Amino acid sequence: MSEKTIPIRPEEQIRLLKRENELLNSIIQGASDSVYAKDVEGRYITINQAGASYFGKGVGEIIGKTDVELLGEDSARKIVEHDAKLFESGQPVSYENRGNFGIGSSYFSTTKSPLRDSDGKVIGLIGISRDVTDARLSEEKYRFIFDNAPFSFWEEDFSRVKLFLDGLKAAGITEVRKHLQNNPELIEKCIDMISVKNVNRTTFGMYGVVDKPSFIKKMNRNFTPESESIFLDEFVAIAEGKTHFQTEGSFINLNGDTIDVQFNLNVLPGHEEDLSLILVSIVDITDTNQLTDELNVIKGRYQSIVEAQSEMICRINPKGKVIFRNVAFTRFFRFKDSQTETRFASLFPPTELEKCEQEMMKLSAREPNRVWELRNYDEQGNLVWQEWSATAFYGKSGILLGYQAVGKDVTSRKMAQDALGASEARWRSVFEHADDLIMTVNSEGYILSVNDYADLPGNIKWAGKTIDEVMSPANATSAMELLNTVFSTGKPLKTEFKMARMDNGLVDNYGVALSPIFHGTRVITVICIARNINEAKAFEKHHREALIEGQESERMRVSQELHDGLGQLFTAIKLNLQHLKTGVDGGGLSSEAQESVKTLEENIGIAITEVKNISRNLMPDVLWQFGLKPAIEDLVYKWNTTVELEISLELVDMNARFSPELEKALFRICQELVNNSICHGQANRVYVQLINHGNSIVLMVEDDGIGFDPKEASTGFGLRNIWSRAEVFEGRVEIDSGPNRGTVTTVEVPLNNSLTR
Amino acid sequence: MIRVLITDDHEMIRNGLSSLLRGETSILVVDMARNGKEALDICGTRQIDVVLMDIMMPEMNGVDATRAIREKHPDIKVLAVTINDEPRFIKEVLQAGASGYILKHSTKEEIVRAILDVSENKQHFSSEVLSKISGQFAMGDKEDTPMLTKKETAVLRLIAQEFTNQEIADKLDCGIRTVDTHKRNLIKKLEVKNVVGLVKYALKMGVVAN
Repeated sequence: MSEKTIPIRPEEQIRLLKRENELLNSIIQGASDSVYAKDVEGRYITINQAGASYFGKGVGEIIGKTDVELLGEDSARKIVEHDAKLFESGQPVSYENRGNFGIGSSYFSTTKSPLRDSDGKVIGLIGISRDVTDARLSEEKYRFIFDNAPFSFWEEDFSRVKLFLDGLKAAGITEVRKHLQNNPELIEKCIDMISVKNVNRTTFGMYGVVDKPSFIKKMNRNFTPESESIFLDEFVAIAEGKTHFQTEGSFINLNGDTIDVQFNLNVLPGHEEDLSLILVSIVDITDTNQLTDELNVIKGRYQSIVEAQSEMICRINPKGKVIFRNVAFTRFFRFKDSQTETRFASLFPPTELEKCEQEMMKLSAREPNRVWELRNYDEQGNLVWQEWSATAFYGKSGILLGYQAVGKDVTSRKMAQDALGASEARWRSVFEHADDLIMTVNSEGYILSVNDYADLPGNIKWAGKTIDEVMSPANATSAMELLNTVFSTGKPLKTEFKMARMDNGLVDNYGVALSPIFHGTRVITVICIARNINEAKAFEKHHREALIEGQESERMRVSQELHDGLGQLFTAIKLNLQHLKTGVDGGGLSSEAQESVKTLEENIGIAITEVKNISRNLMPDVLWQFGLKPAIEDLVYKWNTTVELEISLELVDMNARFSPELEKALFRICQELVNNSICHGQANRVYVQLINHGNSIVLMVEDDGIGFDPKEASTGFGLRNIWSRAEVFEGRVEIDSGPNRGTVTTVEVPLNNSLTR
Repeated sequence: MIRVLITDDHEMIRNGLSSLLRGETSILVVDMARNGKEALDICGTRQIDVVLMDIMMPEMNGVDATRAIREKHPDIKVLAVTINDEPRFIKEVLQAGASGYILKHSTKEEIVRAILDVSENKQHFSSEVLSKISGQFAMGDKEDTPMLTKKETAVLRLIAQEFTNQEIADKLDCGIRTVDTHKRNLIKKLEVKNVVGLVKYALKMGVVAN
C-alpha cells in the first residue's frame, strides 16, 4: 500500500463513520431492490422500504419476524430451504422464485450472502431480492409466440458456421459463393455445423413430424438436396456479415410435397458477434404462390378474351380515367400510348359528354350496370351510334374500385329500326283497313293487338284480353290448340275455324291463317288472319247436300222404281199366271201350255228375287220403314253371317227416329266404315257403337286391324265421302289410327229438332 | 165365309189377289185399302175377319197398321202378304200382332191355306219365311251388361288410375277428343253420372285392381 495514511482524530473518525453509515443507509433505503438482513433463526434484523413493500407491510411490522410468520408455511418453504442451505454450507446462494406477497404473483431473483462475526462465524445473512416479473413475462410471451405462431420458427446456433466461414476468409477466399458452389460438400459441412436449439409446433406440421427431440437431432436430414441453394444464400449472407437475410425458395418435405417457402434469418440481439443464437422463420407460401399463379392465368385469360372482342372494352378508375383498353377501343379512339390517363367521358363529342358523365354518376352499388346510347363520329367523320354498357365494381366495404365499359356500334340497328318504323306504318295501314280480322297473340293466348274489324264476334274489345276471355271455352280450347301448334312447330297453318258468338251463340265459320313471328329461333307471337266464310260455307254445304241428296234420291228413285215398278209388275204377272193356270173361268190349258206357264212362273220368280236384291242394295227397306236401329242391326247381322270377322254392335238410346237424311247418312257412314275394316283393315274384331247422347249422336267404329296413316288416307274417296256426309249435319269426323294399332273412327253429329221426328 | 180386306198400295197387286181369291167359296173379299190408314179405317166401319197386309206402304205402313188394328180390334186377324222376305220385316210385323206371313208370289193354294189357318186362330208362315226367321229371332234381345270395346276398356282402366285425358291420349297414342268421346260414351252406356261412376264401375268389374 503506497498511500500515505493521514491520521484522523477520533471525533473526526466517529463523525466519518456516522456519515458513512448514513450514506449507506440512505442508499439501502432508496434502492428499488429489497435489501435485508436476517439472523440465523431467520428473523429479519433489518429491511429497507422496498423490501417491506414487497410484503405489503411497514418496516416495523417485519423486523423480528420470520418468513413463515410473514408468508405462511407454504409460501415461505422455498425461502427457508435456501436459507438453511446457506447456513449449512456458509456459501452464498442465488435463485429465482415465484412469490406471492399479497400484491399479486411476482418473480424474484434473489442473492443471499452469509453475515459473519469477527471470528468468522455465520451469524446471519444479507439478502438482495429483485422483482424480475416483467423480464420473466416478456420471456414467456416470446416463448408463447414462438410456439404458437403460424410460421415455422427455429432457434439455431450458427457459431460454428461463423468460425468456419471466418476461417475461409482468413485463408484468403474472397468469393465465398463461388467457393461453396464449387465445393458442394462444404455446404453439407456447414449444414451439419448448424445446431438447432429449438423449433416450434408449426414446424412439425410443415415437415410432417411429431417428435421434437428426434426432429432436432436429425434436423440436417430434414432437407432435400433441392434446398441447398437456400442454404448457400444463407451462408453467403452470413459470410458477408449480415444480421438479417431473406429469401424465397422451395423444397420437398419428408412427405414428398413441394413447399414454397419464405426464409427469414435474424441474428438475435446480443449474439451478433458469435452468431450463437439466430431466429429463423420459414413461412409456407405454397398456397399464396398458387393463388398468385392462378390469378395471373385468369388475368391473362381475361386480357386475351377482352383483346379478341370486337366490342370496345376499357377499364376506368374511380376518378373516371381510362386505365386499360382493348384493341378495338384503341383503334376506334385512335389512342396513342402516351395518352395513358384520359377521362372516359372526354372521348365523346361535346354534345354527348354531359350525358356520359350523368350516366356514370347514376351507377351505384344498388344499380351497378347501366346501358346507354351515344352518338359519335368515326375516323371519316361519319355519324355512328354506340351503345355503352358500364358496370361499376365495389369492394367489400362499399368503396368504388372502378368501372368496366363495353361499347358496340349499333348504327346499323338504329338504321334498321328507322326502316322498320316506316314499314310498320305501312303494315299498320294494311292492318287497320283490312276486311279480315287480324290479330297478334303470344304463347299464353294474350291478344297483343287486334285491328278494327267491324264484325268482331261478341262486340267486345279484344285487345289486351286473353283468348279465354273473348271466346267460349270450347272455342278457346281449339284456338289454343291451333296456336300451340304454330308456336311449337314454327310453321304457318291454314285451317277453318268455327266460332260461336258470345252474345247469341250463332256460329260463324272462319278461314284462318296463322303465321309465326320469330325472335331468333323462337316463335314469340303468332299473327292470325281470320276471314268470315259463312257465305262460302253455306254455299259449299248446299252444294254438298245437293250432291249427296241427289245421289241418295237417285238411289231411292231407282230402288223405288225397281221395287214398285218392275217388282210389283212381275209379282202381278205371276199372280195372273197362277190365275191362268188354275183358271177361274174354267178355260183348261193343254198340258204343254201348263208346262210353259210353269217355266214362265219360275223365271218370273227368279226375276222378282233379282229385282229385290238390286233394290235392297240401293236402299234398304228396313231403314226407311223402321229406322236406323233395325237397319244397322240387320246390316251387322248380315255381315256376321257372311264375313269371317266378328262384328259387335252396341246401340244406346237409338229407338227414336231421325230425319230420313240423317238416318241415311249415318247408315251409309256406318256401312262405309265397317266395309273399310272388312276390306282393308285385316281386322279380327270390329266394334260398332251408335250412342244417342241427347244433344248428339256418336257413331264409333273400332277395329283391331293393321291401321293406317290418317294423313295419307284422308283424301281417299271413302273417307272423303264420310266426311262430306257428316259435314252436311255439321258433324265432325275423328280418325285415330296408325300403322299396326287399329283404327277408331268417331263421327259425331249434333242433334237438333229438325233432325228428330 | 171368311171376310177378307186386301191392303196394298199397288193396284195391280190388289186386283191380282182379288181375282185369285174370287173363285174360293169360303173366302169373300169385302174391300180393298191402298195403305195402312185406309185399312184401319175400314176395319172400324166394316166387319172384317182377316186383313191381307202389305208392309211397305205410304201414309201408314203395314207394321203400324197391324199394331193399330190388333189393338182396336183384337178379333181381326192380320196376314202379312208382302214382297219382302227380310227377317226384320217378319219380326216387326209379327211383334205388331200379325198371325201369318206369306209372300206375294206364293201359290194360290198357299195363300188360301194361310187365310184359312189365320182365321182359325192358327199361325201360318210360308216355307221360305220359316227358313229365314229360324235362327235370327234371338237377335236384338238386349243384353244386360253393355259391351265394352278394347279401347274403351283401356280408357276405363286409365281413368280409374286417375290419368287425365291428355295422359290417356298419350298412353294410347290417340287424339284427346277420341278419349273424351270414349269417356262420354262410357258414362252413357254404363248409365253412370260422371267419372266417379266410371271409377266405381271399373273397380266393381275388376277392370282395375282395387
